[in-house]
Amino acid sequence: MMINVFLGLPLVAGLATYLMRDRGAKGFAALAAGIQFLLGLSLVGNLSSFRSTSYFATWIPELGLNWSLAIDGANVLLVLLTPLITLLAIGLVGDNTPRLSALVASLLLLDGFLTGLFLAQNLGLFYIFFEAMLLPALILIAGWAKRDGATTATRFLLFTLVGSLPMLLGVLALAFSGVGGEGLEFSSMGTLSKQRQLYLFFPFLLAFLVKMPIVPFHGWLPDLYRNSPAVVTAVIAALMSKAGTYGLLKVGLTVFPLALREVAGSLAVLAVFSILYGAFAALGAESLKEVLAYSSLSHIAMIAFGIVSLELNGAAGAGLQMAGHAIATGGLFLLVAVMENRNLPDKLRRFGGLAPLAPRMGALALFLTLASLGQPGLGSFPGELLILTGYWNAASDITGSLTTSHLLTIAAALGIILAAAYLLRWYQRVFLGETGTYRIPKDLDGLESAIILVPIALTVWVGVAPSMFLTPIQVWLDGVL
Amino acid sequence: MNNLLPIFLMELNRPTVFDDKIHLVPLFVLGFLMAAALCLELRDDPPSEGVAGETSTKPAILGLAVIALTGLIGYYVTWDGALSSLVFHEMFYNDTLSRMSGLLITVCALLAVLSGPDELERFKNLRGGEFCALIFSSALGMILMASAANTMLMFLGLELFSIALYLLCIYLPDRERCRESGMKYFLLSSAASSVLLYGLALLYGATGTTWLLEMKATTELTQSGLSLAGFVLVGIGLLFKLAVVPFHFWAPDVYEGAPTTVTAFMSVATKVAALAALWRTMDAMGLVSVRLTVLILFSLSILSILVGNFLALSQISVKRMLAYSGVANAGYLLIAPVVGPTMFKAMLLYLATYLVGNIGAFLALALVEARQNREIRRRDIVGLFQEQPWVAGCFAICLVSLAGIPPAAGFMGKFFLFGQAIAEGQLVLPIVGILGSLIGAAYYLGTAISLFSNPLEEEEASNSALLSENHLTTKAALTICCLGVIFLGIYPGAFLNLVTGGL
Repeated sequence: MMINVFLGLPLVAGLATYLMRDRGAKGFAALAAGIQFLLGLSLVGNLSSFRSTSYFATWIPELGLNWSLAIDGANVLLVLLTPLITLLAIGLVGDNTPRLSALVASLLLLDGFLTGLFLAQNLGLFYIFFEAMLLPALILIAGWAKRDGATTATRFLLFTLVGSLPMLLGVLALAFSGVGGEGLEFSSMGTLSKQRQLYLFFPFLLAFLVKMPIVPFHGWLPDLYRNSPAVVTAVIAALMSKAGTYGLLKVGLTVFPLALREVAGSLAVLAVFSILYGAFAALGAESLKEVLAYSSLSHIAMIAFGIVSLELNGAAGAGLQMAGHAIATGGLFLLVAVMENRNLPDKLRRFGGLAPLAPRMGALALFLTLASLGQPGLGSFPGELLILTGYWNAASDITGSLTTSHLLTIAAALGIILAAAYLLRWYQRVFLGETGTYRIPKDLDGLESAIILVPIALTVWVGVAPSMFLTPIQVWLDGVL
Repeated sequence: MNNLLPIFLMELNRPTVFDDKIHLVPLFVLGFLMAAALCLELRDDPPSEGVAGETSTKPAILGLAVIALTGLIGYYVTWDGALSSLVFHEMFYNDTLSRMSGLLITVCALLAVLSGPDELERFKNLRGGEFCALIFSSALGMILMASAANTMLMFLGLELFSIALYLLCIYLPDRERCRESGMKYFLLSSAASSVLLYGLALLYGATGTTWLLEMKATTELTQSGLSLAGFVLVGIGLLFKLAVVPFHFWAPDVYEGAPTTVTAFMSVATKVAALAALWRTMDAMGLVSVRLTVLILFSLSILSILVGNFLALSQISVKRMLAYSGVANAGYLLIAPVVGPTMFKAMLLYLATYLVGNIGAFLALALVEARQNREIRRRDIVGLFQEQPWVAGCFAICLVSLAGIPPAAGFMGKFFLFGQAIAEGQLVLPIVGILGSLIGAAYYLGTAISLFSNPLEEEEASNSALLSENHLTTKAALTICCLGVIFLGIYPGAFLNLVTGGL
């Protein structure tokens, strides 16, 4: 029952916030997200030995839909990070933002729908949340984009729908062709024949690839990350992109394992291409958020690469890296949000020498940059290492000699080296060197530092003691692989 | 064979005479409301502008209508579904289809009565009583048509509601466009009615009866060219009312020209009545309908979905866009009769979700029109959320429902409709339907996005001419629609439980 409160709280609070005045809305929304996070902590308890919590009720039996939620090894990290990052983002919303209450309300709704998506144990319910989260995201983009809000939102909408409406067809085909007696439960659907898995997997795969996104389905990403306010981008980059990777992990491994095995090779090629594409695009990008956008594209592709290794270490690394990436990229975009609140420019060429002027900002940014590029000892390192070694080992298990799979792993590893190049370039261009042409900003105040310190603390924790965060996903993977 | 029929009819568990009358309650209620509204209207001369408040009969009519129609809705909801019979000299079906279409049509009428007089006031046309009487009369006709067991009664119902709608469509005679479109509707629709009547005549010639049940007994055994021709003509008449391609040409013009609240009413209620009649006629046609269904209705459904959606995509006027989307939705609805009787529940659920979403969207549009006092193009509503947050929020919810995005009602409607079709082995129609939904989402959600987007990019001059509007009852109706959208989206089971039996 608590799990329903955990899911319902942000949704109800979000709807209530829409009706509130701007004054006080931020505090109320932050309170709601905070309570949700604490509820999540109390539900999960101890990570390394946590018991899965679940709730089941039949909802619309005619459609195979059940209200079936659970915290399990695959989603536990994301379920905890969703309210946390939403809370941090709400905390950084500028106080003089127009229509503030609607902005934080939409953030809460997005939080609620994402929570539902991660918790859902029924394919129909999963689809409902997958589509529903589009709505607050569209409102956020259309309403508060720096420029071209409607165009950006429409492009995002079209890309996503082209991906996800075919998925509806897949869900329908499963729902009304009598799979299992219990409706569309994930647990009752691993028994499809290989032929049907192949037919039905493609619509799902397309939806996930668009949502991540993987090249060539990334057309919506640069505009959206650049034009949206950074608090919104933080939530989208950190959490909404995980809807795609989590979907691939959860739906791919539990419902379509045979089909996923069949297409894993081609997916790995796509993923490696995306890693390199994102990396080179980030090297050439000229605006603050664009670099981070392409960096995110590249890192997400790395997660997908880990999943399609279909090997225990690689997939577990991908599961861990979902959290690692959410923390590091979320933290970076939150820092950009702070800079946006100070009306700093967006173009890299106008930046430079920020670190001496705002030393706290510079120091925290350096930490997050290092975390994002995979510095050992910080959050992204264990995940990426596991992904690469996992894929390499999976390739070596089949043949002893050097194969295409080995070459793919090497190319993917190149992505990490390039990450160091473009992220350090980003840091150097913004924070070091000659002072650029901008009004000298205030340094971070106490609250802002505290907010940015949260992802830093988390990334250190994950980097130093990854095994605790790895255990749940490893246990879960043992069950499905 | 003809001897078997009377025995069959006697075998039906026939209710007593008293029960017969009970089932005509809705008709009496609507007839009484019509008369009452007219009487109240007669009481005073059309008041002059200054003293409108003193002599207006609006509160009395509204109060009466709301109480009576709510009671009627309660009657339909609590009606014992297990009972299914022919009443009133076997003229009138008393079954699930009658009951559900009656429910939907009554809800449409209630929403129209709540919102219509507001819109008339905007045009200084204060004959709200007459307006309501016409709404009641057309609702009465639609219920008759949807429940008719005899083709004569069906035609009577059709004419009853058509004539009322002709008048409603030209209810703002000061507007050129309104007169033009009303005339267009009158001419085309009466032509369609006569085609339908001719078809009924041919069916009578082929089967020797006007009773649908007796027709079914004949056509289940034999099929003649005459009955085929008759059925085609009847179908054309009904498809015209449904606004299915290629009989849709009147719809955008008429929907655009008519008062927006009338458009809201007719775009949904007419579809309910025509679809119910089509469903009954097809059932009565036995063998004849099987062949035709596959051949014609199948392709018309696909055509409607594609043509309606593509044309809606390219519209500038929001009202016209919604009108073309009505054509597309008629296409989705046709999937039900094409696939067969198992689609019954799905069709009714889709109609219910379409009702709340579509009427809600039109009512929100009426409120925006009242505020800006002109025809609304898509760029006129950019940033509406800042000016009228409640209206814009409700508008967005209804558009999301029409687009079929969860958790709004429209998603459940589409999910069940397409899914049931897939379960019956029909793959083409759901695929086309989902393709159509994709196009539909582009314009519905595109419009919803512009409600929220930042108007600072636009010129701000247009904001100067805003009127203050106070249309409380319209806002109430809009809110009812939104609550319906959310309720049906979260718990469609409540509606599905009402649909207890088959046809």
